[in-house]
Amino acid sequence: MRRARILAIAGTGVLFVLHNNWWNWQPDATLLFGLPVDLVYRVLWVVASTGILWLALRGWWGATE
Amino acid sequence: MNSIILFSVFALYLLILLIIGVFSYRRGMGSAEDYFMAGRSFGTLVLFMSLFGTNVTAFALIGMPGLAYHAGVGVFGYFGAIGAFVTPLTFVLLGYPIWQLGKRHGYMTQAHMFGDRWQSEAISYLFFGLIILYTIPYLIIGLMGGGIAIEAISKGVVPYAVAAGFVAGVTVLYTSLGGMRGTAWTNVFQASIFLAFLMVAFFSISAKLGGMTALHQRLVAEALPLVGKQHPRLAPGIWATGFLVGPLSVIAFPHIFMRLMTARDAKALRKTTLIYPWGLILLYLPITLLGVWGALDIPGLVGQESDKILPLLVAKHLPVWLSAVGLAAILAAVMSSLDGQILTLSTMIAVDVFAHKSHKAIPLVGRVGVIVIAAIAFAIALLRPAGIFDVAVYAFSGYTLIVPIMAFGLFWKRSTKTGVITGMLLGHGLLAAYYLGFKFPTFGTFPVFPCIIIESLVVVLISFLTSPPPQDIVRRFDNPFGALPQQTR
Repeated sequence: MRRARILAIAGTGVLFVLHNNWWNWQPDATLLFGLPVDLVYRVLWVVASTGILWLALRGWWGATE
Repeated sequence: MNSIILFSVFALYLLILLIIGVFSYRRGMGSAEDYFMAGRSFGTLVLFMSLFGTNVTAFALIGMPGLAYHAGVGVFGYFGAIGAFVTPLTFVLLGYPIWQLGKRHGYMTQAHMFGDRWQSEAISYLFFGLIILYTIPYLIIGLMGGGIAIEAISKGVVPYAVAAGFVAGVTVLYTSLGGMRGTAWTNVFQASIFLAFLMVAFFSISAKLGGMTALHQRLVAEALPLVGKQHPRLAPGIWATGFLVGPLSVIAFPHIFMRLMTARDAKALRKTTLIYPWGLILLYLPITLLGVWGALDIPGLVGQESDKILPLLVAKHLPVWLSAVGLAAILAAVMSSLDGQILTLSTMIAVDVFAHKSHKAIPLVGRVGVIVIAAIAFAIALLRPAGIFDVAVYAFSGYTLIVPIMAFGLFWKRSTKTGVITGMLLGHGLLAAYYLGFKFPTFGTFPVFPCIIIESLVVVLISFLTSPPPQDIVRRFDNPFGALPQQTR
């Protein structure tokens, strides 16, 4: 549980930095799977964030079952 | 012919809502706990759909594509992706303690829970007053949105006042009949409608416009800025603190707070938390792209004209019956929030103000409260106040300032009532002052950002300077992530 909490807190920090991707604020003409690359990046970000949510659930709700 | 199809679909939608309202009324037990909280009995599906339906307002179907029309695909990251993480994260960190305390001690409202936490009537009144202040503008905007949508799609056949009155009337009817159970079941139906409509509209319009890849190649060739984040609404400071105004404030909405406490067990809450991000992505991804495609397909809309982009795309590319479903979907988004807000305010009046009355009288007070609140909101909506949207932005920020106070109450035993009252008065006072014209520096962020820091610091500082609260009171809030005793599960 403790490890899951630490990983969830660290993961949230990393997600916040990746959310504020100020190094890539300009338009990017690349298409990935037919979608603008920023959209693909955001969807992958949400996939990663679901993993962090799962860790947070394990870390804080471990004793609830 | 078109009008007949339009009104038939619309009438069918409203009829289904009323049937659900009557059915849930017949299932009711007559107690306050049952009317306001549905006996805290919702499983994953109803809990998820009612939270989702209440959380998603007309802004998602009208305002968000309207903004994407001008600002481009960045809108998805700004509203969608960050919301899909931060809101469920608050469910993890605050949702379980709130649910557990509600189940253990019978709390229904924030004023009740946090007034009890600090043994302070002043804190109860502060929560009560602030939440009423921040929720009323949303009720009015919801009614205005419903009235404007019906008037526009019926091409003026149904005037604004009649349309807004009709939305208010139907919502009042099924909310006062069915209480929490009625609103949650209608939310399942309403959320299904707007999600299904959105999927159909997304794939049909994409096919009519030549397919997604071709559309995005055109986007890059003709409107490259729309794949970046140059729009002032997406400036780095605003982007970095945007989560404070939207996603973080959701758990402080009284209608979301109450719904979290209706979970049957921790398992339903856990599953809902994990499904929630994907519900938001299913909504926000297509709606952003529809707005951006609209900029290619129907260019030249200026300012808030772009808020009509979804109805315009639907009318241009889809058959009439699907346009009618589109109207029902917009109304579903409006009404699924409206019912939750009306029920919550009536709960607050019944529980926080009339709690000393007999238990049998409380649901009746709640039902009368639903009618009175809706009537007041309708009367103001008829005036169509011009500044109401500015008030709404202020209100959203106000909810955000309630979140740290909730966190202090749940997790920090040393926090004192004097610290909390001072912090709340200062934080909410500063925010109000900013929106009334006292523009303190915000360094390119949302004004709520400095307010939340000052509010939290003041709570900590004053709490350390005042005597610790008696331990017998704090003990009630011990172990926020502990399992419930078997008999109260």
